[in-house]
Amino acid sequence: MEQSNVFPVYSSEVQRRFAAPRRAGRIERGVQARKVSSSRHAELLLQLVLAGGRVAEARFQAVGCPHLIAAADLVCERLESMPVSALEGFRAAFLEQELPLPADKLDIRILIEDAVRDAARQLN
Amino acid sequence: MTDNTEIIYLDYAATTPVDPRVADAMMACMTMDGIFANPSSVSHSPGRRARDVVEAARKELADALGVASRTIIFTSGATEADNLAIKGFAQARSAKGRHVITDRTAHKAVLDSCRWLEKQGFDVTYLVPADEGRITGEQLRKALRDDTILVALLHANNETGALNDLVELCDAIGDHPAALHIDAAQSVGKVAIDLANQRIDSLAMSAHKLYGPKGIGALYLRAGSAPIEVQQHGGGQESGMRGGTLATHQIVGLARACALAVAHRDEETARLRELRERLWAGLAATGGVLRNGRAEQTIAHILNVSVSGVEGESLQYALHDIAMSAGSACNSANREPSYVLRAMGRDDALAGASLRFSLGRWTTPEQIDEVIRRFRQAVGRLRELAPQ
Repeated sequence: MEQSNVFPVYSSEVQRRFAAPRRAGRIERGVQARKVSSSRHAELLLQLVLAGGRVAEARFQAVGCPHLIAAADLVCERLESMPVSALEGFRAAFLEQELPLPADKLDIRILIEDAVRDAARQLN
Repeated sequence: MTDNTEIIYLDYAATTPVDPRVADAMMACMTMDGIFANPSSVSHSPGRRARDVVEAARKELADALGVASRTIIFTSGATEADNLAIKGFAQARSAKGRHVITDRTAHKAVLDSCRWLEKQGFDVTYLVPADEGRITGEQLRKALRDDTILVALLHANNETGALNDLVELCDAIGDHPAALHIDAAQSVGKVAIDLANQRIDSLAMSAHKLYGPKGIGALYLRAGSAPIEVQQHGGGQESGMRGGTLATHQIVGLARACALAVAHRDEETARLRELRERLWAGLAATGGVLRNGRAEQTIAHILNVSVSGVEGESLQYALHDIAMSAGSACNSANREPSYVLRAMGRDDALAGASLRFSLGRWTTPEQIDEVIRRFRQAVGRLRELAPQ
């Protein structure tokens, strides 16, 4: 009467970052940008601390699927050491290769990019 | 999370392992030295033996349900039984009316059959549960019309375990001529069902929910009930009600599974209820966990909870070393929030972060305690990740 559960397949990168996201957490300084998805149960809080014109620390907090958590962790890792000047045009195209995101979750990339650009606007 | 962690199975409402006693009975009907012949081949002795075994199993099943053997039609499962009853009653009675009543939170086998009837021009009313997932007699009474020909409801909801009161529903229908069909896939062998109540015209059941094999079920069709239109033709088996070679081994398995379940029903129900409440107490202590359905109105082996502050897919993945359902198994593939919980008033976030634990014959207190430990760890970690 019932079908077997079809469980999403997560890449080893998604599994690894979901299990132990090194950039998860809160820092009590810097700028923050909060984004809430309108199409899924997802919320992202991004925090950036600057030093010498570059991102010194990037952290995130999130409610969302494993892909969101993994993507946020990877993006924060990439943001560190990035010059502030590069933030406003930030694009997370590398997520397509490195995670990757399923086709029905490309909105997660947009959510993260919007959060980064929001944070960049606060720095200007 | 590690792939070496032992998986704890708490998805008995999705399916159950076959009880070894049932498997033994089935094996006797499979190989060359067993009872393998076609039960319709009565021109030779192996066929007649197979026929006799089928009829003995039919009686075993009928006795367990407290009904006459002639009221049992074997099908491939409860889904087919639902289709046969719902479409069969509607088509046979269409000259008397074209209104059907069902429950918005019913299993897809019932809902999709009703939606098919809508495409054939029938008018279907989908009742919304008024009382923590249950349909009340008052709701049913108000929905009945002069042209209602069929009421199709679940006994126990497969997602939440909410138990409809069959006596109350039968009283609500009273003398109205509409047929009453009950999908009892989750409740046969677990809750006493009084089929002597003449208001129940038909009942669907499935073997694999009660430690029997997959691929076999039955439709109880009350003796003297108005005729139904046959849905599967070919061969004339089951007195012409359902064509197709009878699977002796599966029929034996269904009957034996049901007989065993009924024989041990009361003690097993008490044991599972105690384990379920132990599980609920442990999960609730985590905080922000809502119970979907009331304990005293829910079938003993099912616990459905919604977890606040976490997202459903992450919750399920974080607990992937527990075999359970996030909502209905039938809906897990498309990641939509449970339609049953949404109909009960849960918002999309809570409906999406719901878990159905269903306990069974091999569930132990130690497993329950370990599930509680893993749940607290997973929920705690996900909530720590959330924006504060």
